[in-house]
Amino acid sequence: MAINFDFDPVEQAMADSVAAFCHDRLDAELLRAAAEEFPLPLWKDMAELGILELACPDSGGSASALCAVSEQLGRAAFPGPLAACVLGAAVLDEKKRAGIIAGDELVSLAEPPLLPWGPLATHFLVVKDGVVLRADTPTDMQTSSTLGGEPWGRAAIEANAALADSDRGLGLYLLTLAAWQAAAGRRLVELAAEHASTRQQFGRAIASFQAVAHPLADSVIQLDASAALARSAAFALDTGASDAMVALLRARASADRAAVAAAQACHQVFGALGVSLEGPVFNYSRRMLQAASLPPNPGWTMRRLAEAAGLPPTSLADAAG
Amino acid sequence: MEFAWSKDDQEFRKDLVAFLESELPDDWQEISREGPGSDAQAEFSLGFCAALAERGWLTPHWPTEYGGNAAPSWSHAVLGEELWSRGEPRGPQYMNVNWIGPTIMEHGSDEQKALHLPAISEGRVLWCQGFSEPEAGSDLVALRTSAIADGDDYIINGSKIWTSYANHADYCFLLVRSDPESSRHHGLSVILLPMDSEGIEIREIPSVVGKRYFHELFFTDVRVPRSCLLGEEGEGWKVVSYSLQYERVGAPRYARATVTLDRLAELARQKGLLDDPTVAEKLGRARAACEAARVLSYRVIDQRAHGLPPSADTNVARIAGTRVDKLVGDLALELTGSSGLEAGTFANANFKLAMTAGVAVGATEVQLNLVASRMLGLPRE
Repeated sequence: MAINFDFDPVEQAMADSVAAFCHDRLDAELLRAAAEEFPLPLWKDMAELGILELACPDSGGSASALCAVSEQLGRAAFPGPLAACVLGAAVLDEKKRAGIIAGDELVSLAEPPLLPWGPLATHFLVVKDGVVLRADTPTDMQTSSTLGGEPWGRAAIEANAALADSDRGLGLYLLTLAAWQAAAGRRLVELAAEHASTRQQFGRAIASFQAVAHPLADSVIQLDASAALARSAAFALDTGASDAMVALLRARASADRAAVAAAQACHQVFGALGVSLEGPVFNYSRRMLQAASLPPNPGWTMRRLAEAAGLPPTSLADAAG
Repeated sequence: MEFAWSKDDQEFRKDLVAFLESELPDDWQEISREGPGSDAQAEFSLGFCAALAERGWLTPHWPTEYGGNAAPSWSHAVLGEELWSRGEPRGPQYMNVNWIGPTIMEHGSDEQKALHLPAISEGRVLWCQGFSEPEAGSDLVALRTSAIADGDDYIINGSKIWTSYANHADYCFLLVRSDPESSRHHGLSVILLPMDSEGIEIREIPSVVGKRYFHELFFTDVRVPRSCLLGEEGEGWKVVSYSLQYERVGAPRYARATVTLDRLAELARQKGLLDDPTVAEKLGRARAACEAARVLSYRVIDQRAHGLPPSADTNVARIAGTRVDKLVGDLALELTGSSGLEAGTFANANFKLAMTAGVAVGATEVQLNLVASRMLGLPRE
């Protein structure tokens, strides 16, 4: 056996069909509009490709396949609670997950009292100290808007039942986030590179200035590292490696960090166009920032990674559980 | 050497703080939520600046003949700090006081001074700045908007972009090419353009930063009298260089960042995060950067107070200020987590402010080049 980064032909074929779907259905205008009103028909059509079904325990779907399709969705900055719905499809019972994998029902993974996608969600989950719990649908939900243009809710939420398959579900959730983030970041850097190659100032393309080119190159290094960590973590999950969860946490933490840094680098390259709602960059960066804010929080993740590396556990209070 | 505030400055700050506490309404956060370009904040600024002006506090450091109190230039720094740390209730008018007024004072005719300076000093006029164009951003002197002399008038054609406050502005401080045969720094002029002139079209560019924050301006055969020319025809670059030195240190961003840091430290304490040495370290580091930006800004004001010519120290201060914005914006997001992305939260406001910090008033890359060439004598790329 040799190390091989390629997806197998079935996984690759699935990734190709998702790429074609995104190419046909998503453009900058739709991404912008999706921040005003979430495109449920698009979401349903995406689900019908069988993407969320990959996460079901009895579907025969692999983590590698999920990684492959998440990369393509990330490249397109595909909107919506993808990772939370992957988690729901993995941990909820057959009856509940049917609506999720069909794209009819959405899942909110809470960061109490915040409920990402809460106003649109049917199912509510909480992750506490690495364990996924089910929660009742909250009452009296306040709605709030976010930088990412995502409809969020705010309400007290009670976790009431631990779920079977929590570890596998959380693993797939982290994998989806990591692969999506790294690929979204990579595409954003490509957009910034295209802009820098055509934008002329001082009589030359701004990409010919190292001060412009190097931050983009640095972003590629970090993002490619994250993408590679995500693929190897998917493999670890599929092969039942004992350190799979650590690999997944590492991939997600790495991807978030790389994506946020890349977003900032790309904003700088695009100048004021970077913060325009009409420009191409904010469609990506707003969703990348939002994805980086999803639970579990970076502090908890870093402590888990430090412990896994053999460092003594800290006595610090865990702020967000 | 002296690093303490004078007694007068201390008293002024005390009086100013008392005034602000009584003058800023309870719903000031709500008024300022959508930024200085919003209708709410622009309107508020007119009443607020008039109240400041009544006390002689809008332009205290200006000569009395232009509506000032001839106070030391440090009173302007005190004003800037206190107002920025409260979210700049002067709204768009901070530009008038910071650099538009001083530039008119330096380069304007008697007629222009009489027309514009009292209006600025009394807080009853809004300005915007017409510098950037679609093809002339960091490379400002690539600009193409023209003002061609025609008898006693100029006829203006072209467009400007990223213009803040254009929708509310009474005047635009407009940089144009008055000699169509010229290139680069030559043949530029500044026009003080009344925004109610015929032939101006304004389009908003919606942005994440705030409502009506950016606009595109289109000029089609806009005719203005020659009396709108500021300084000599063809000497526009000299005029604008003077303006930029004021603009780059005009907004004490460190003052706002410092207040935000205090709030973040309190938040971290409430969440029990201060026991985490990495959090404490980041707060400490950001605070040190705020202090550094503050003293670097003071260094520039000190040089100005001594009548020294502008230097690359201005760029150093500006870069330090924008770095602080970034540090604090990132830290706000990190410490508040998901809620930092919710619209209307203070962390969100600071993060959005930080998004443009490295671009506004000259991209950081350009400022670094100026530091490299002027302070270190390094060759241009």
